[in-house]
Amino acid sequence: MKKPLTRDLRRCLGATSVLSELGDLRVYDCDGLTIEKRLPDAVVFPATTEQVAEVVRICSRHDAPIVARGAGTSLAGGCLPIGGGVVVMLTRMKRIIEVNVADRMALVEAGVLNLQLARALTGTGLHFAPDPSSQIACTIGGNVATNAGGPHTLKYGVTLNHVLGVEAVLGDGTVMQLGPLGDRAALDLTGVLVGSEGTLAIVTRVWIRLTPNPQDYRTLRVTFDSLDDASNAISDVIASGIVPAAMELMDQGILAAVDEAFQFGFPADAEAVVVIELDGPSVGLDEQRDRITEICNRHQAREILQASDAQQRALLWKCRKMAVGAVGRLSPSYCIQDGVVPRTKLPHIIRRITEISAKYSIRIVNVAHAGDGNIHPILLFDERDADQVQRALAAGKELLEDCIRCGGSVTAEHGIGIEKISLMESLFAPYDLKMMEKVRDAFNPGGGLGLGKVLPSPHAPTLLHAAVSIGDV
Amino acid sequence: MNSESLPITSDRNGRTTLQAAVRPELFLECVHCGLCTSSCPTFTELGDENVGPRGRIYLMRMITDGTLDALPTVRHHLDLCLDCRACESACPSGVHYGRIIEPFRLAMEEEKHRGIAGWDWFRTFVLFGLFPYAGRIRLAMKPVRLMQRLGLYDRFERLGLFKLIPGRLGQMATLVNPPVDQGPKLPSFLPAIGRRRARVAFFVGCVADAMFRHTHWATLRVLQQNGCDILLPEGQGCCGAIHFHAGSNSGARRLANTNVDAFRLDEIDAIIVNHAGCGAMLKEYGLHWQDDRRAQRQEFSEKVRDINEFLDQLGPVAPTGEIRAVVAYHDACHLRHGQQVIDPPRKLMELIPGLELRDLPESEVCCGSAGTYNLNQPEMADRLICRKVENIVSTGAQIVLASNAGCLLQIGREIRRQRLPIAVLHPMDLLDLSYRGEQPELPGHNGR
Amino acid sequence: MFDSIFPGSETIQVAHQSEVAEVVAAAYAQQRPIYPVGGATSLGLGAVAGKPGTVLRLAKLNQRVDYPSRDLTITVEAGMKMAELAKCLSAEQQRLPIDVASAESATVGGVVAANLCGPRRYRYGTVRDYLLGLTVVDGTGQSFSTGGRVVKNAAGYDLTRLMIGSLGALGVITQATLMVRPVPEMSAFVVVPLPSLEKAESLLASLRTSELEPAALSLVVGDRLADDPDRGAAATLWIGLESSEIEVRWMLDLASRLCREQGLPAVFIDAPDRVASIWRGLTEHAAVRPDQRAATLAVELTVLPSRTVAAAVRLHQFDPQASLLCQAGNGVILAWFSCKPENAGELVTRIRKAAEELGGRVVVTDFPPESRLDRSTIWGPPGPEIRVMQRIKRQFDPEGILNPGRFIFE
Repeated sequence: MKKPLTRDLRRCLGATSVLSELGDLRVYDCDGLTIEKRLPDAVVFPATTEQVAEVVRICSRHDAPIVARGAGTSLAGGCLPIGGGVVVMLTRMKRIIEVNVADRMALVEAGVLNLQLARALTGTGLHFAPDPSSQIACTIGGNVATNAGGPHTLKYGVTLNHVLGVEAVLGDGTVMQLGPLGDRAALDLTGVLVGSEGTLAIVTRVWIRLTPNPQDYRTLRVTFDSLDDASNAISDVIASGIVPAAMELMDQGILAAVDEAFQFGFPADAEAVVVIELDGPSVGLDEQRDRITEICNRHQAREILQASDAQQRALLWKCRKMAVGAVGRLSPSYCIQDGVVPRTKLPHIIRRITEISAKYSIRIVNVAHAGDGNIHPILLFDERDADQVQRALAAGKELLEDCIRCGGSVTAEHGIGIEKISLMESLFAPYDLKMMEKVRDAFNPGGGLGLGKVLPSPHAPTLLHAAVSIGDV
Repeated sequence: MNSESLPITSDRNGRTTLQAAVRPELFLECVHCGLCTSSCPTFTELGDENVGPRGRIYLMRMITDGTLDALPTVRHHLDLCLDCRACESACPSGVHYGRIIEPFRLAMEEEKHRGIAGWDWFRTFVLFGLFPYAGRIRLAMKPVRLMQRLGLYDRFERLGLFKLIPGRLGQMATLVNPPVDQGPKLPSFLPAIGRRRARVAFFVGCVADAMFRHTHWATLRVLQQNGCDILLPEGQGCCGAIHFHAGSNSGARRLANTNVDAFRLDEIDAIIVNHAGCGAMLKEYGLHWQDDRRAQRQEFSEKVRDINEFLDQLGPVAPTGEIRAVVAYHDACHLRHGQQVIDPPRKLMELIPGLELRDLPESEVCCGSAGTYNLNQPEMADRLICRKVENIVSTGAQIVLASNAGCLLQIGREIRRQRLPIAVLHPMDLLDLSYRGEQPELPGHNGR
Repeated sequence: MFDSIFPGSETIQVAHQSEVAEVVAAAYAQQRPIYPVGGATSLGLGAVAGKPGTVLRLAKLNQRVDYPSRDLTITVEAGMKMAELAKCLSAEQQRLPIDVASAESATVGGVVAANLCGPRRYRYGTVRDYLLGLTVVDGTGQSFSTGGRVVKNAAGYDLTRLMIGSLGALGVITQATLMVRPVPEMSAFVVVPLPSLEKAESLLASLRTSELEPAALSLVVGDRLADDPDRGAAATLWIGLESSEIEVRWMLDLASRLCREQGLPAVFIDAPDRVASIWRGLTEHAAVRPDQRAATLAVELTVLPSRTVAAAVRLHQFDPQASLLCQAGNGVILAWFSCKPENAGELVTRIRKAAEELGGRVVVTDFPPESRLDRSTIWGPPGPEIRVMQRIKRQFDPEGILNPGRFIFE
């Protein structure tokens, strides 16, 4: 039945750029979120924008849904091929086309890795500010799709603030060039495409704004006996008017996993460690550090240590960024949430996490981009135990509903994907969602791009009620 | 190493089956985050999840669970793995990828070769018949060495005539390094120079002895300079890595036991090995097989030290001979990822006066040699070595260093093919020259 | 009052958000145009309305909804004046670092709809970087909300960004949530009088590659600020510096050293009153004086930042009397030309051609009403992406009643 589709795809891309045999397709049935799996009909590897456009046109002819995929590190099921169809891999489009140091911008293909760009910029004095924890593997296209953040968004903002324009293929196969210059005579379509999770268009190239590297850093590791003190201290730092480059919270549970992985020597009995980084011209940093030290001391910090050199700083950041991956040492499966609350509500939500953990008997460990109010509670479970899976999902849902009640949101940087669709109706009024549908219809009239993602629809899987299919993986 | 890390299980007939090759618990360490993918050379080249570590683990897991058949395409994805284990260095969850793919591929090979249809002349005669024996390798290289002496080899290589030799044999012929004075046969003992600081045994190996005996001599002289008495026990042989990775489990175990018998552990502080592939294998002797000799093999493994690692721990005597050259260091996978020896060779090179060590981009990415990979997967191996050499050229280095025979041969071949003025050496070659106050031969200088 | 721009239209004042929805719903039923107006400070932006309708004045919709200052966010109704917002924030030592001329009149909703900003955009960005969420009434009179009240949010499509600069053509903004920033400890200027415009090129290049991160890099040509220490110079570069006192002092040193290296005199200004006056001057400079509107063409030209001076030189060639305000770090030039109404269209065409040669773009931000410039002259020829924008417009405003004929849409 699907043969004509794959035949057309092969004719367009060549046989080595199309996968359609079962043995080749299985690994594409999920991404970083493993509790839901769907098999695509084909996977293609275009090398140019024109090929992407041609693939989109072919799929549109065959009425086949399309999912764009980069490194497949989505934690929200953004790459799940709902309804089968074609997975468009952007991993072979990884050229850095231009780096313009004078104007602080770069043009890259969507499959360029975040870290690849960082390395290519060595020596220019510039960097791409978003630094999600999946930085070593994730692609710029993926960063754009999810409006990725990372620790340093506290000072520098999210991907949106660093994208000047994109080249994108619309649902009907037309190619659109936006930016890099600001355009008063246009709607900010780039702004809408950022964070649209591949459901409005397939972004093939990105104009990136580059940020000057700070002259110097002060990176502090502050240890607290109590989680409550830690979150209160964070809230006070923000309110004090200091804007650190990053302010990251790790709780006792995650510290144990990180320490096992990297032997950093975190104190085993402390409830929380907060990593605070200040950056900018050297002259002003010590003064800011002293003010932060004073605030932390006011909240009974047990110990405040400053990274003494670049190597120590790098290791501290490695620990923080690898923290989520390291939970594999604690549990066979995990589900990481991405709630966000107004920053003053941080102490409240952290307390709620503890309560919810007890209520559902699900162990939860925490990392958080705490300065932004962005929490990443990680729910630990064993996916072979169906009851545990259900409890973990329920706990996650309750937690996010709490974030909404606090005036927050259910995702700050991972995206809705399929995972949080059921919460969209709690977060937005029906007419708000209706307007989003209208925007989707304007970009992607047939709805073939990213079918069943982001917005509630009959195609969207409802995780809580789905028969959890992990046993048969 | 505890018994949990013993991965190999067998079916009722004592044969390893695919479904039983890996204990299911090992799969659960992987949380499917995908952070490993970018470290994988084959994923980086092809961008296909099937040939990345996360995808491969997923495939093996599905076969183990019985939800996917070991289809030919699936086998191909697994065969394409270099086993460089770069993914282990990248993995935050500490997945033991090597302990999953190695027994799995072993079982795949055993299954394939169980019937006569799967019989492979290359495997039987060349890999298992030739490689373990330094003498036989030297004998087999005679035609190539003769051609080199007559000046025919260069012409053959230039005209691509080695392609006329069937498949993997032709690949092998082109790998042979140019003839150098390899020095005399190795003695059975060499004394420390100056105050004795350690007593060590030296592991000689097969390919390394046949093709890099000069590097063995360099290593031994460096050890002497650093106050080491060196024993070179009789009766030792090939480490068994080639057998193990090509799927001959029992052959590998036999070789391991031979080596364990050859070394008297109570007489020595360490067993020194200077090629990463052998070193990684020797260090894993205690891990691979469950039988009554496992404890002995484990003791042996615990004494094994890579030469770079050993010197770094001992505290090296600073060399004084100045070598004015720009060098780049390539991380052999089996050293960096397999043994996590990363800084020591760099620190040793920085001791050499005058030497400028430049960062090699992607130094941690496999060169495509990967044991016998370049013989079995020449296309991917070619892509990787081209990328590697491009990176080497970008540094402007006159010398590229690697601590492993396979890498030295693979990089050497491509540098010859591209006629680049870059010397390919083992770090010990250079360190030895510095101790002796001599200069390396740089291709650019003598007009080659 | 607005007859020159909205001929034949009536005016309605609203004081509650629900009234906006009612008015628009009624207009939708009658297919009668709605022209939303906030502080009426940017009415020069856009073509003269083609059809009579209802001018919807939002300036009384000016309540503060929520100001959790410790969260550094604020939610206000769209008609709140920018000056009022600033006053409210300054009580907590906070601010929205977006400079807007005529802040006593300009409203938050108007600033969002017209995407206004000023000299500080170099360091702090534009509305795009601060707006967290909106409440909007669409072209059918139904209200919807976008975004949220948290500083990071990836839920659903970012309709907030879509509304910025949409000039009332997609919806009437009734409420906005903004992220705010602490007021920096100190602010100062280094002022560099330049003997020639070209001389700015090398100085800007050296400033941009230095470790200096100024808040503003404004190059003024022609009409001068009252605070200009040397009005005889060909042009003046204003380097605005903001941060903690210790950092500002360090930056002042660095900036003057960089100027000296270029052989240029630099004047230091750190007296708070004068500094405030300069910020005001640079911001207000962007406004066209009402008494000059009849004979002034104002354009905004955008090029890559490194081409700012080249573009300024070209504009200067067109008319040596033209006044230019260049946001040199951003590649944005505001230019004012004295021009007879009948010549305006032709002048725009010439400027646009020059800009395109430099890879840039031009929009007309104000023009003599008599010249009645059409949409394509004002906004420039649309690119192929106009099709998507038109589809969005139809979705949000099916009857085409929102600000018709003013923006890029019919």
